[in-house]
Amino acid sequence: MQFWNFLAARLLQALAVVLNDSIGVQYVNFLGDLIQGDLGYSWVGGGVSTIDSIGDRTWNTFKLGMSALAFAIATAVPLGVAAALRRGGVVDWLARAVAVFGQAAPGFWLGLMMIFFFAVDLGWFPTGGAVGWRALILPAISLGMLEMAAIMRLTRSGMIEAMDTEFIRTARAKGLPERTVIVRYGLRHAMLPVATILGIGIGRLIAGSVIVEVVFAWPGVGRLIIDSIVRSDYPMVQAAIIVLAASISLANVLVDVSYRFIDPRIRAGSL
Amino acid sequence: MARDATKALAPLVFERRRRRNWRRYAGLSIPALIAAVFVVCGAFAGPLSPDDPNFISLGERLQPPAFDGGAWDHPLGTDDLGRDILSRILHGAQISLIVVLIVIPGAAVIGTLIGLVAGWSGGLVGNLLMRLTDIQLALPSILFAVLLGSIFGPSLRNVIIILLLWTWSAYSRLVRAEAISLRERDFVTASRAVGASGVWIMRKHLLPNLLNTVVIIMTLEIAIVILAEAALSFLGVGVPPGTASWGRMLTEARSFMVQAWWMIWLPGIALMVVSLTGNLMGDWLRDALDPRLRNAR
Repeated sequence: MQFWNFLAARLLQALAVVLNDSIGVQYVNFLGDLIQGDLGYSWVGGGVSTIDSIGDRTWNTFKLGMSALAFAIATAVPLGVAAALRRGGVVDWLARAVAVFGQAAPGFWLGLMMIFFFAVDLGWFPTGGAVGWRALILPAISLGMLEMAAIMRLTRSGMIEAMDTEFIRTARAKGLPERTVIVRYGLRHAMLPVATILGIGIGRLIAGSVIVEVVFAWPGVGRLIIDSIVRSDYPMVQAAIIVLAASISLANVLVDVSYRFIDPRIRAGSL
Repeated sequence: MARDATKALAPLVFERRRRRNWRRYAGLSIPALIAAVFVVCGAFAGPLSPDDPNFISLGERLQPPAFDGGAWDHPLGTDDLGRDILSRILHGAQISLIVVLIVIPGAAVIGTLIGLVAGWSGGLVGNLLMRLTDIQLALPSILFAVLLGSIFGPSLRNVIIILLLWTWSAYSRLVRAEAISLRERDFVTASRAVGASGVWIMRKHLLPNLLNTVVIIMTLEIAIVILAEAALSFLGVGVPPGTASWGRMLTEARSFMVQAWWMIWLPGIALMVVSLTGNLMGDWLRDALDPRLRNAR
């Protein structure tokens, strides 16, 4: 009985906040609640607090996004460097093919094809859900493909440019081992544009996660938004979009700060 | 002696230059051919289709393509409702073509105007327009699109409006950057000195100089727009159910992945080939017209 009273009170509270006041007053109330970490109550599912439902799912989306990014960087950087060092070779040709196809293939179709081959045919991975590390592999690859293509292209062109510069010649003249020349001098120079694109890339990853989460039934924020939109659960949509937009802004700030560590010229200057 | 040498070398030099020209266009030939096929398929989807794309015939459901043991009356097989896949792919090309033909020029005009005004006028108006672009770029546009799609309901007209709102900022940002650097050039200063108005300078000096950039973005956006339409339809907020669109076909194919490989392969391949073509043409055009843009995206 107490539960039902509580539920009714919460629902009335939610409706009163939304419907009684003028739009301006509602907006000010909303901002006040936002500062206190209160993003409102869901209209469906018994009026639960939206921030609670989002909290669980943010971790899942974060896990998916970070795995996708890790996959993209871990494959794109070595491939890009190898392609740049042997221009016109087999690796270069392969890398360019991967870049072109990675950019053209729609993420959701790629996901469906991978489910078709690796989950249904071979049975190596589950077709969806978020149970165990195996469930993470396919969604992370299909989400990271586009970023991988972009990072690979930039690494390749950056490396080609870097290996032509005076400081590489100096480093070689000093008698440094070729490995050090490539990693400490060339790659570091090539990573600068990559860091820039990571800011945009994280935004794109978050946007892409919406579709990938739907394809793989991944319980993240993106799927929550799609489900909530279908159910017309606007407080939930609003709260989830605020969380996503805030994470994109945060990612951009982190990328800006990371320039300090990559580019000594900025560290020396006034940041 | 020297003249003789020049004469003897002249055909060689000419020959080399001509070969280089031919090579410059060789990269474009295959994408251009595929693009032409896509346009013809889209424009003449009705006459080319062997069947009505929405004709349901449950007796013929899930028939494989002709090259995989099916009958020739459905060359690419049928879907779960017995609809002819070839006809549906052709009509899907039509949807993509309509979307591209309206959204690309529309977004280019809106985005270029906003970028031009923002770059030229600076100040309050320019800042306001740029913050608008920033907001547009910061929010994942697919969420915005899904929200609009769910409010307005699925229809082709709404998809086009949503994609216009989605894509204009790609133009305005680059156009603004170019306009700001052009604004400081001597010919603009000269024009101002003789009393030309802002609108006149924008039209006569800035716009012609920006055209290359805009055309390159337009070409590169073709793939983005086609994939976006497919994604919206895939999520169920694009074209209405029953319409033959590539994204819709993929959604419907999800439940029949195991029984009918062709339902999911064929629309996906069509989608990928067309977006690949758009990207290749855009890259080629960018390299040919403006190598500086190579790292812009």
